[in-house]
Amino acid sequence: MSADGKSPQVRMTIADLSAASISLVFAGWAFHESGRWPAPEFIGGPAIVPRAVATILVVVALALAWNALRGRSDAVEKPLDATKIRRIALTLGLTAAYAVSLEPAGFLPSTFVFLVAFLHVMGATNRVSIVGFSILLTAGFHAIFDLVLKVPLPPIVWLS
Amino acid sequence: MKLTRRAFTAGLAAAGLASPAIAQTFQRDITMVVPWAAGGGTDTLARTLVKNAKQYLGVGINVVNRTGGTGAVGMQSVSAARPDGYTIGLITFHLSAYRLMGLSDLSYRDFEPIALLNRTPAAFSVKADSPFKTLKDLVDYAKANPGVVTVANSGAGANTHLSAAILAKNNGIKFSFVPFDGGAPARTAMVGGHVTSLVSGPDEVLQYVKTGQVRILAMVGEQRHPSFPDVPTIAEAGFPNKEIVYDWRGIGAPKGLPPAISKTLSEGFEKMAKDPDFIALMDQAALARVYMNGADFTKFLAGMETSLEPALAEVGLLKK
Amino acid sequence: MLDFSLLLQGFGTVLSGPNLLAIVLGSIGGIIVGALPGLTATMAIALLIPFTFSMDPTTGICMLLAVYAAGIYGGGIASILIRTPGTPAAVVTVLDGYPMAQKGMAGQALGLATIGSGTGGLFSAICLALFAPILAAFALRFSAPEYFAVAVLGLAVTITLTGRSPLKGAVSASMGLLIAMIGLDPIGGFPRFTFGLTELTGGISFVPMLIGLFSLSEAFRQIELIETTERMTAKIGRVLPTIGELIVHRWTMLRACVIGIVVGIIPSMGPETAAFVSYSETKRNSKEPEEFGKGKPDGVVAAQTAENASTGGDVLPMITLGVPGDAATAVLMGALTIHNLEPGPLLFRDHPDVVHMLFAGLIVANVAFLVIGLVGARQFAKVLNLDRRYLVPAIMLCSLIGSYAINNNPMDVWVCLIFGFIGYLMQRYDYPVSPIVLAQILGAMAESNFRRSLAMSQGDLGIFATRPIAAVLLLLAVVAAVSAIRRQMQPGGARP
Repeated sequence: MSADGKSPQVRMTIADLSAASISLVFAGWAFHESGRWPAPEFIGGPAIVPRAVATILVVVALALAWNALRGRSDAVEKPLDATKIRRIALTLGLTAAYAVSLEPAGFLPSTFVFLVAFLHVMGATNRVSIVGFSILLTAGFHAIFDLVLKVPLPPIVWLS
Repeated sequence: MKLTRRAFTAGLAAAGLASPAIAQTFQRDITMVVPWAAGGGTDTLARTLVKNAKQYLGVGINVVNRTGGTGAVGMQSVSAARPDGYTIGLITFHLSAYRLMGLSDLSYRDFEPIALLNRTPAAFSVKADSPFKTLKDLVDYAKANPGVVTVANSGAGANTHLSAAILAKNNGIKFSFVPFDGGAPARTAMVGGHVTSLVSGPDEVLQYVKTGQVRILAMVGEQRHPSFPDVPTIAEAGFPNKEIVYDWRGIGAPKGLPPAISKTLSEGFEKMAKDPDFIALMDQAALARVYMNGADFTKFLAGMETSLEPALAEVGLLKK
Repeated sequence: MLDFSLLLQGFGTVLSGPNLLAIVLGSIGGIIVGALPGLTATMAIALLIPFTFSMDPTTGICMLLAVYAAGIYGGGIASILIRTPGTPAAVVTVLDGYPMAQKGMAGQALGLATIGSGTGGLFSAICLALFAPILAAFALRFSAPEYFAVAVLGLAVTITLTGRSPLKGAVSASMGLLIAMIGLDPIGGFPRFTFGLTELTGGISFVPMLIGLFSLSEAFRQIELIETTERMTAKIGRVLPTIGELIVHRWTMLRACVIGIVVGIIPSMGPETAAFVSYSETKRNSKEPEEFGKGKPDGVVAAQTAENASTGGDVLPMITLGVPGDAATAVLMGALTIHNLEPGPLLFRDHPDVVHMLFAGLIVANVAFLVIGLVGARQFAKVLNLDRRYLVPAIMLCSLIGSYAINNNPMDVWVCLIFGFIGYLMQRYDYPVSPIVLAQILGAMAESNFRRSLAMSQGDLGIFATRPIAAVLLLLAVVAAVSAIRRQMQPGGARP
């Protein structure tokens, strides 16, 4: 039993139903979008394959939903507790923040901060090794990409 | 990073590697964005061009491949860069078409054109054992059998596709276009006998012409191509046309470049375009070397959009 | 045809001082780059090109060939040890390689992967040297209808990779197909599903998506499980396989070699497809198909051998016809052109010595990474001893920066992150990830060639029946699909 008291079976059913609904939304959108494309001179226009795929997607999504509603979803899910959800959410937020800051802040500072924060989330406790590892990794990437391979990673614009 | 690189360049200068004779407009290496993948034809051209940049500008030029969005991502990043001369870009044919095809608002107006380096016409070719000996044979046959002649090209909306479409429109004939993902696979389909003819850059078929497997019927363009003196122009073949669509490659900088830097860059690239290594590569690959300075290049680009508009309308790709 | 004296002369050139050194250095570099998630063989070659400017062309090209062969092999190492494929091709090696490492058979998995890669690579390099002109003529008989048929056959035989629930596999595959259609229509040239965004006109970047789906998703999974993963005691085991072990795998290897080279010759199909097809064919022919995915050595051998067997096939159309077989060979072609050796029929006619040097170089490169790989395997495996709390952030950073650097496009960091999270959720709820990737490669190829064929025939579907090679391939695809579905229907074949 997981944190919210639902059995793995129920959670898996919810997952399958969500997947089916997302698929249906995508398929519907594909149909909608392809309606505005030019009609072909002969069979084989731009819309034919996307529509065929969307049709298959509708069929499999409905089958998936039907299976789920009959309670036949696989019950293999490992339970998630609040700590895990928090950690995943933190990582996701951290990584998104890193992606945002990469270009304006520059590779060196944003990477260092990202690593220190990430190691903290991962449960590393030794401060010396957290900082040391972050510096080492940041410098290593800088050396490989900027200096050896001449692939410029985002520079520190605000310093120059 | 910039600090590091400056230190690096200074170190090189101290070691006597940087040429002392040239007045230093640039303190550190220039970045040139190539909007196409590393190793491709455009990338090869770019890298050969800037190989000896240090001799001519006093600093090196690093090529960075920034791809995506059929070239628009890389070109966009150049047009949006700080106009200090440290970021320049290779710009290509697609820049003439984005706005007309409704793919992006980007056009040559967002750049300060520095130099045109290459202008490639389209060439019509057939397999050596094909019954068509001249372009007229092919057009006459297409006239008698509408839609039966299949023409391979390097992609929808490419200069090759548009050149053939203009030929068809002017002569009231109908080709079945078979677009490929680039010139090489299109050529392979023609050499394998899967399509009637090919319209491609002459450089794409050069090797096959030399080995006698392919015959070029005619080439779009005002004059004959220096690497193919025996091939007639499309007008000489009997089908004159006003709207010539060229594939082109050049150098552009962000708009608003200080005049002094613009001048240094222009002079530098003019010299690089005359570098023996660059000339050797271009001639070996039969890529027509056409040098134009910024002002002429701008005029060329304006004319290009005028030619492209009716051509794109003809193939149904014009977005208005 | 093959000229032995020229080939011998080629070996002479390749084995002389600086060239051999270039090959050894290139192999070591290739293995490292291949093993790091986010750095691919293609990228390594592209980045090395400027370095070869200052070298003698022969030395430079030897180095690039070594990076190419070793880079494809190196991808498997990270797949086996930390479940993050270093290169796209190594995605298939994960399936059985990682479970083997979990069972304390990391050494054996690495050993078999190395021997498999080496054998496959050598086989295809030798085939290339012996039969290049014949195979080139064969490649010319293929065009759009045949490519379409090959893609359909590929999709049909890999149905078996859909994991435990075929329905979930079908959802993944269809979604993958829709994603593959984002961008400019390959035939008509106007934007589909782009939301009007310029960045999307080229489609979603493939490599960042793949790094996300496989490497980043695994990082997320590790983050979830961090307290429960005990520090692994470094049980690596024996690396060098015994002769008996190799004999057991002889058919798997032979099958993988043939599949690899055939898939390689077909343009736009590279090591990824070769590995997928070889793996699913091996599974299909196995007496214990249910053991696959749980750490069966056969799976590792099938994947790695086919990956490297495709290298010779990919190089072939590049050298003979000037048409690159995949992304990595496209970059190699650029490198040759820069060194004034533009591949194509003229290269064969005017520079047969160079062509034979290339063959010799590829053969030596395969031997080089085989030796280096076997010697180094025990060192690579030490990564298993690293503290996961530090290893996972390193993998994460590698994936994100690798995604950025492949196109120098900040958008791709987002592509990697978004698909990384999607991949994590999918694996969590038992939706297989490989069908998305396969659909990208094969689906895009099937669509463009289907429509290209119709453009050739002016809309006549008969073109697929009247061209014998295409017709036979399509028939085989139907047979493969029907037999796969029937096996699923059999009692015990599918889950209750």
